[in-house]
Amino acid sequence: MAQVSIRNVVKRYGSVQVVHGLDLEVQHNEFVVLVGPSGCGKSTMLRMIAGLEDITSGEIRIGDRVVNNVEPKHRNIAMVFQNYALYPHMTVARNIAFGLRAAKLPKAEQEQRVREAARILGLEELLERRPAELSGGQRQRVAMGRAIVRDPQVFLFDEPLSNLDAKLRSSMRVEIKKLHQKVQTTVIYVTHDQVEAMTLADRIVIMRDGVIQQIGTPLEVFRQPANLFVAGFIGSPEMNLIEATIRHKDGQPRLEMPGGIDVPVPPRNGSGALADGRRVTAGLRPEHVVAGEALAALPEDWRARATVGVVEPLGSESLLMLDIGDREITGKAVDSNLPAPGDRAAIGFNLAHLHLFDPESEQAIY
Amino acid sequence: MFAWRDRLTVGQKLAIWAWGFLAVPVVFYCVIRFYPTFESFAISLTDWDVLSDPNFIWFENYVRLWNDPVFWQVLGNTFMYLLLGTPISLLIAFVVAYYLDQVRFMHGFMRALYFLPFLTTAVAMAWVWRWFYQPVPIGTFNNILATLGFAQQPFLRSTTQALPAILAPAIWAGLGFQIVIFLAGLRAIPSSYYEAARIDGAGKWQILTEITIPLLRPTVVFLVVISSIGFLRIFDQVFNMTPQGDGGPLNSTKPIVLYIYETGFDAFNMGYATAQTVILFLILLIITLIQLRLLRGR
Ligand SMILES: Nc1ncnc2c1ncn2[C@@H]1O[C@H](COP(=O)(O)OP(=O)(O)OP(=O)(O)O)[C@@H](O)[C@H]1O
Ligand SMILES: [Mg+2]
Repeated sequence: MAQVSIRNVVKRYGSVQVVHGLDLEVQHNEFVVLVGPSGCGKSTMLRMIAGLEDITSGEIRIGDRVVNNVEPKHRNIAMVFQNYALYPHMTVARNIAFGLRAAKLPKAEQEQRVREAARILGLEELLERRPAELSGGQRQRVAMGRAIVRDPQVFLFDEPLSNLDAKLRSSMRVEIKKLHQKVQTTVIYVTHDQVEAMTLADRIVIMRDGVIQQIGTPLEVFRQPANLFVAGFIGSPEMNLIEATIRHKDGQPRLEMPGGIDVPVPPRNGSGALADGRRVTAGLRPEHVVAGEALAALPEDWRARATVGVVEPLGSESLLMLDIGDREITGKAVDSNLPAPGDRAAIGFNLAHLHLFDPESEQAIY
Repeated sequence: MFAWRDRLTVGQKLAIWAWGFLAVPVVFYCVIRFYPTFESFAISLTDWDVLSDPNFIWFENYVRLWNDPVFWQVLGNTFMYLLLGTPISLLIAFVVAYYLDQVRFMHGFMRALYFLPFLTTAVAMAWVWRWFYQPVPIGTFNNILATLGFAQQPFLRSTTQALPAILAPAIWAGLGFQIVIFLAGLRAIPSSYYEAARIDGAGKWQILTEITIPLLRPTVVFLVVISSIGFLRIFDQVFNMTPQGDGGPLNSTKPIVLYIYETGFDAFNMGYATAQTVILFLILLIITLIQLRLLRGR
């Protein structure tokens, strides 16, 4: 059993504080992904869990043991590095067995464990090669092999796929997921790629400047972003974030957007607290700003008109850059019959998926 | 107008530029290095003594070398310098660099301190060390021995102690260079290798033997070759630390370069001296090739 508890952990380099009182509970066998923009402290957090960096204050537990001052080798963890850290002068087999030699396991058991790991990862044919003679994806698998032979309680991954091309990355993503199902351990995985985070994670931890913004399942953070940052970070293409004003009309709150667009705010938890005249930031994902056939499914008063800027066909659907007032927003259409650039087209807002944020506090209010 | 340019491929143009820049050193080497080398082979087959015209005497100089007990002795001395000096100096340099690499406090100052002897002229240093080896009350080493209650040592006056006594400053002189090169080699090893090893639970010894030393192999190759050549050509220390600069006592410290110097510039026996030079050249060549082969191969 290995749950990882991180309680009020702070990291300071000299006078610069880079992690500000982080709290996180990772359950046994859970796959948790830390995601956030470059420099937000993901690697630092992971390295503190690994014991490669001291923590300035707070507490880290692995299992039921406080490990603040425990050497990395006694934490029963394994880590896969971004550059894999494979030893170039050793064969794949020797690389994988490195930790077993360190543990002074009997030769026979070392070999047996290496063979087992190689079988799981499909490396049997490559055991006698050196890292230089492997492809990027194979190296990645060797790095994972070195981690799994030691049968650790917790796996730590620091951007393990960022050196691979897009296609390989998506296939390795599947392999990592399969591996997790096979070996059943706790995983903490760092990435700055939100797609990786969404596809791999049981729970996602979104970080920014050393502070956790939101923790939740992939669907939770996608559907109910806690603040503007999460709303903008998760999802691709990005959510449209539009400055708007609340106007009450016949006792019902409505949303006044640039370009003279005026739509109702559907009644929901939180809609009562929207005072008349309040400035808000409205969030709508591109798939909820539609044109063409999809309009028919929306109520009349969820529609408006906008000038089409650029059309980007993606195959099954197309992205539309739409000008409303002085703002440009992104919409989607599935038709083959698309509006042309410059057209004044009918568009619709699927307000069932509307998000509202307070522009000052940046927190979700609706 | 520039059509002639386009007739050459990019590769050909690059080659022309490269050879353009290389031409100067190539010509220089031919005139200053290769020509005299071949000339030496020719002179070694004569009895030239500077004053009279040389006569061609075939391999007589080499036969004389073969039968010259002093030549065999200086050859043996030279190899003693090499076989003691290279491993000892590399070992010391590695140990110092290994620990210096882990020191953050005054790192630059310490490194400069070790590098200083390399900047000092060998002659000045040799004379200082010559002093160190004097009997009480002048010699530092004997003073220390006497204070601690040990017997005085003859050092440079002994046929057995003189060679190691001369080797010490020679090792000392090269140490700074070797340490700096080792430090650069150590720095070039990515820190993630060490971090991965720490997580895998490797001890200091496993890290040293399985990661640090194998990854320093190119550095070691370079330093073994450079320092071997240095010890095979040892001269300054011997010339300045032995009385009359004769590689004494009883030729016990005389290296081949000093013998060549004496034969050529004291006895003016140029043909014979050149024959010795040719032998030294061949030894250097063979040893360098063997070392490169042995240490490069996997
Ligand atoms: N050794 C150090 N000394 C000082 N500051 C550091 C050190 N290591 C990291 N930092 C700072 O800590 C912050 C977090 O760094 P960290 O490497 O954890 O970012 P990250 O989230 O992993 O980013 P990336 O996605 O680019 O890898 C950065 O602002 C960085 O400049
Ligand atoms: Mg990082």
